[in-house]
Amino acid sequence: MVADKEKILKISGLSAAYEDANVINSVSLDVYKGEVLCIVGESGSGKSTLIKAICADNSVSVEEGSITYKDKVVTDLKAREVQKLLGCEIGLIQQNPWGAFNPIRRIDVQFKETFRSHGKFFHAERIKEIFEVLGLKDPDKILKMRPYELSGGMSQRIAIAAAFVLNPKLLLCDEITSALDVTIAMQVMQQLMELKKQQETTIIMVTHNLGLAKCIADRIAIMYEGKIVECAEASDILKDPQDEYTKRLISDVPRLRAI
Amino acid sequence: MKKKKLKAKIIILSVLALLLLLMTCFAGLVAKNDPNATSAAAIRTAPCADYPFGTDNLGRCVFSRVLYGGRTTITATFFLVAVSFAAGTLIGMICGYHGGIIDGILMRIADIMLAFPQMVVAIAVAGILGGGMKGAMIALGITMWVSFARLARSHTFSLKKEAFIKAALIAGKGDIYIIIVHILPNLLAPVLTNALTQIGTTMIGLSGLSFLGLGVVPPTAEWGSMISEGRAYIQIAPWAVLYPALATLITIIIFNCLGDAVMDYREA
Repeated sequence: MVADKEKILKISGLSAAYEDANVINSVSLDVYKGEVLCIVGESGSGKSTLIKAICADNSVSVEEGSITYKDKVVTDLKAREVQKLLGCEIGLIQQNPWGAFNPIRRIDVQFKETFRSHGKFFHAERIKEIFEVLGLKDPDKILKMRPYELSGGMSQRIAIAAAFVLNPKLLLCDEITSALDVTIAMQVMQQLMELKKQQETTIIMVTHNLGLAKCIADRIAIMYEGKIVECAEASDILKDPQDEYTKRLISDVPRLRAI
Repeated sequence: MKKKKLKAKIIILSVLALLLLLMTCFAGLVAKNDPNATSAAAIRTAPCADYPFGTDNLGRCVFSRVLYGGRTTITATFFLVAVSFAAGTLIGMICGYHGGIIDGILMRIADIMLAFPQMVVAIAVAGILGGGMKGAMIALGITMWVSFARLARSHTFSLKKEAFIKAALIAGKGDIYIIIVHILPNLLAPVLTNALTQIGTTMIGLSGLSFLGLGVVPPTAEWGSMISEGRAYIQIAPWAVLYPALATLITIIIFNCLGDAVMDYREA
């Protein structure tokens, strides 16, 4: 299923570091158009750093290897060119739903800024369309609110909407549901998948929740101590894990057994 | 519930503060007598119908002088707080936003200012600059901006790490735009609260300098200098000291309580 698909992102031999500590060691990974790839691993395994490296965050320095988006080598691009890529081509949703917006500016003003700073015109209909899929009722009222008035789940949905209004081809999600409670997290995830189907977005989802990965992923990559230890189709990896660490990870997932 | 009570407290105190400001602004309407007119016939008169607060050593109406003096004190205080607020916040935001060497230099200067007791620096500077309200204000302002700068700096530091600031940076927004549109509105609330609590302290500072003869030039009415003048004959005419002192006390209490109430309200 995957072999005949077009590659959208290619990471080859990537090593990246924060100021002094090497966090990622020669990671190679291909992402195909239209798939959902989950990167699973424990805290400190380098998942988030990988995401930061892909969007050329300046706190992460790439030591070796390259990241190629379509035909552009992201790791060689100048800051200005990366700027053009981010937002319109590569979107990012982060863990903390409150940090994404200026807490005391109205949502519609911030959406206007989102459009304008990426060279697009404000398009209220598109926002409403996306809000509807995300289950945000009464968009006019929400757009007039300020982020500090919203709950975490709502803020995160609006952050998702803000990423989608620019119609990115590749969406990076960094632990987007870990700050939400389980039921809301599931809801948000389903709505995200709905949007993905509509907009034909490719998603790289970083999570430490294997159960979640199982529900949504086409492929799963397991990360441990800065390396990708295993990467395969979701069903294969869960049924027949090859790596020792993966086996341990799967056996550690708490199960709810029917009595 | 607690919030409601605090809100009521803030409203009452604000009304009182407003009343005070109106009284001093429209001093001419309330006080009949000229604050600077001396009268040989009415030296050290006890409070009566003509002179509600009595008269001082030169026969000047204490009531008029308290009201007009309030104008001097309050205007100078507000002006000084506003200027320190603007300068301190700006410096703090620049330090917090840029970090590095600019931050290092400006914050070390701030540390030097904090190393001396505020009043000692103020007396020294006011002494060098000579008397006059301008000198006294510069003397106090020299140390006052520090508290605003430190507050603004620490808030800018934590705001800078927020995702929305990073997003604005990635989207190619300029530093000035980010500081004005994103950072300033978000730190305005704590810094303004600080400004409110500084009003009382500044008033004490200004009156204190005037009391020591480093503030206003006579015969301009000012609470501190009135207390200082009246001190000499306090046993004969206690009202000449009592009323300006009472006015200072009430004003400072109102503004301090208001500042505290607003701070509590923000934290509640």
